[in-house]
Amino acid sequence: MSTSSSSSKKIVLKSADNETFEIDEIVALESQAIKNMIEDECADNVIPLGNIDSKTLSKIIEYCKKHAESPKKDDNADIDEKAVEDLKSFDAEFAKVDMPLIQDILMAANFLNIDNLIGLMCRTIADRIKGKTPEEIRKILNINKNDLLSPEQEAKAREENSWAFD
Amino acid sequence: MDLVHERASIAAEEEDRISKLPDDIIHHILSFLDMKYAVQTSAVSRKWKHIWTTMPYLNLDSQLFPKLPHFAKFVKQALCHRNNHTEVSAVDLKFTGAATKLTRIVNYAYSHNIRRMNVQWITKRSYEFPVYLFSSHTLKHLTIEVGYPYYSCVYGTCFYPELIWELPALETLNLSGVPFGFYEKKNINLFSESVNLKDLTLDRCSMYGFGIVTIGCSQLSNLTITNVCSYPELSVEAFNSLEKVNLCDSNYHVHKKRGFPRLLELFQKLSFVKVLTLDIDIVETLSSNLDQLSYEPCPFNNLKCLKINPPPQINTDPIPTIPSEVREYLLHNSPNATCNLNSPQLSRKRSRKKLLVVTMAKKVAKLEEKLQSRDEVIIEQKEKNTNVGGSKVAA
Repeated sequence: MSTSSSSSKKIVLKSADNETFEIDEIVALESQAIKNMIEDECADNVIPLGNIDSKTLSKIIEYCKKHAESPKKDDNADIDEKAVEDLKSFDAEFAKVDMPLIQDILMAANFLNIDNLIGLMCRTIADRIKGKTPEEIRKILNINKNDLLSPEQEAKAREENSWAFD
Repeated sequence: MDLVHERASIAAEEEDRISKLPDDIIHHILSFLDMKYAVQTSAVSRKWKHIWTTMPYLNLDSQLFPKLPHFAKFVKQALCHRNNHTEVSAVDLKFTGAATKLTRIVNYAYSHNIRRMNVQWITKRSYEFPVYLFSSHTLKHLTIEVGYPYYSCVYGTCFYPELIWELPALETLNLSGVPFGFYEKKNINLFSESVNLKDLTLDRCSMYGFGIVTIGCSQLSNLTITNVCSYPELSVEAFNSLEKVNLCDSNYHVHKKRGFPRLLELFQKLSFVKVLTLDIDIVETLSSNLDQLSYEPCPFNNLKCLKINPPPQINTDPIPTIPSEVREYLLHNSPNATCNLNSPQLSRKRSRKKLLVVTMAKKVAKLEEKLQSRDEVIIEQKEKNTNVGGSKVAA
C-alpha cells in the first residue's frame, strides 16, 4: 500500500555530526520549536541542529513519527482506546534505553520543545530514581563530581531536612 | 580522528547532563515523585540542594508515613522550608484520617495561586466536608475522591447544600463518593459561581432527597453522572454548549418504572448533546415502558454518536439488544449518528473495580429505597395525625 507521504512536504534536519534526516513536515511539526520556525517562515529546507547528535536525533524522529501517525483524540472512543494503548506500549518500549541517552533525548526534546517527549523522559528518570538514596541517585544520574557536597555539607543538608529522612 | 572521537565520548560520559537542564525540567522530573522523596534529593548535589524548595507541585501521601502525626510534621516542615514566593500550581494529596489535617495544606496552596487540586481521601469515620476547599479564585481543576473502607459510612461525609462554591475560575470538577446529603425537598443550585465550568463528573454523589437540582453553567461541554441511584430533578440552564454526556450504572431501582419519567425529563434537557454514552441499565429503564416510549418525541436534535456500555459482569452474558422503540426514541432526529454497543472485551479490564462499584451502588439503591419508603410511612403517619387532630377539634 502506498502512503500519501510521498506527495507531502519534506523537511530536512541536520544533526551535529552532519547527518541529514529527511522527514515529512507533519512529523517535524510535533516539535513546537520547528513548528514556530516554519510558521514564521524562517526555516530553510535544511534545519541545522548543532547540539543534537545523530543517535539522539534518530530516536527523536522515531518518536515524532509514531506520535504524528497516531490518530488524534476523536469522538470515536473505540479507535481512541486502541490507539491510546498502542501509543502507551510504544512509549514504554521507547524509554527502555540507557540513562545517558535518556538525558540526551530530554535535552534535545527540551530544545525542540516536544512536550509529550519531555514528559515521557522526565517520568522515566523519576521512575529510575524513585525510592533511591542520594548516593544511588548520584550514580544513576552521573552527577558531576565537582558539584558534590562535601561530606560535612551533606551531613548538614541531611540534618536540616532530617524530618524528610525519617 | 578515532582518538578525538573517543576522547569526546569519554568527556560526554563524564558530563553531568542533568544538572545543565533548566530548573523547570528538574521540577518536572520531581513532580512524579512524592514530596518526601523530592526533599530527599537535597542531599544529591549542590545544584539539587535547594531545587525542591521552588517546585510548583506538591505531592503528599500520608500513607508513606508510619502515623498521621509524622505526616503532619512533615507537611509543616516542608511548607516552612519551601520558597514562599513560589506559586503552587498543583497539589496531589492522598490521605487518611480527619479533615483537620487538610487545613494547613489547603490554606497554603490556596494562598499560592493553586490551579489544580486532587484529593484522595480515605476515611473510616464521617466528617463534615471542609468548606474552605470550595473557595479559591485561581483553582481551575478540582478532583475529590472519597473512599470508605466500610460501606456503612457512605452517607457520612457530605456537603451542605447551603455551601457556597466560590470557585469562579473552575473549569473541571470531578467529585467521586461525595454525597450531597439529605435535605427534605430542598432545591439546590450547584456551581452557580463557576461560570467557566466545562467538565463536570459526579460519580457516586447521591442527591437523594433534594427537590430541584440546578446545574447552571453556560459553558459546560462534558457532563458525566455515574452511579447515582436516581436522578434528581435536574434543572439545566442554558446547556447549549453541551457536547458529551455520559450516564452510567445509574439505575438500580427494583422498579424500573419509577426511574422512567425522571429519565425522560432529563433527556429533554440535554437536547443539544452530540455524543451520548449510556449504560445498558438506562436502556433497560427506557425499555420498561415501551408503549409510552413509542409516543414520546425524540429528545435529541443533533446526536453524532450514541454509545451503549454493556453490563459489567465478568461472565460474558449474551450481548444485550436494544429494542427498536428505544433506538427510534434516541436516534429519530439523528439519522447519521453512529451507534455502537461497546464490546465487552474492552470493558473487561476494569471489570473488577467496576463490579465493586456496582455492588456498592446497588446497596446504596436499596438503602435509598428503604429511606424513601420510610419517608412515605412518616408522611402518611403525619397526615393521619393531623387528620385525627383535626377531627378531634371538630368534635
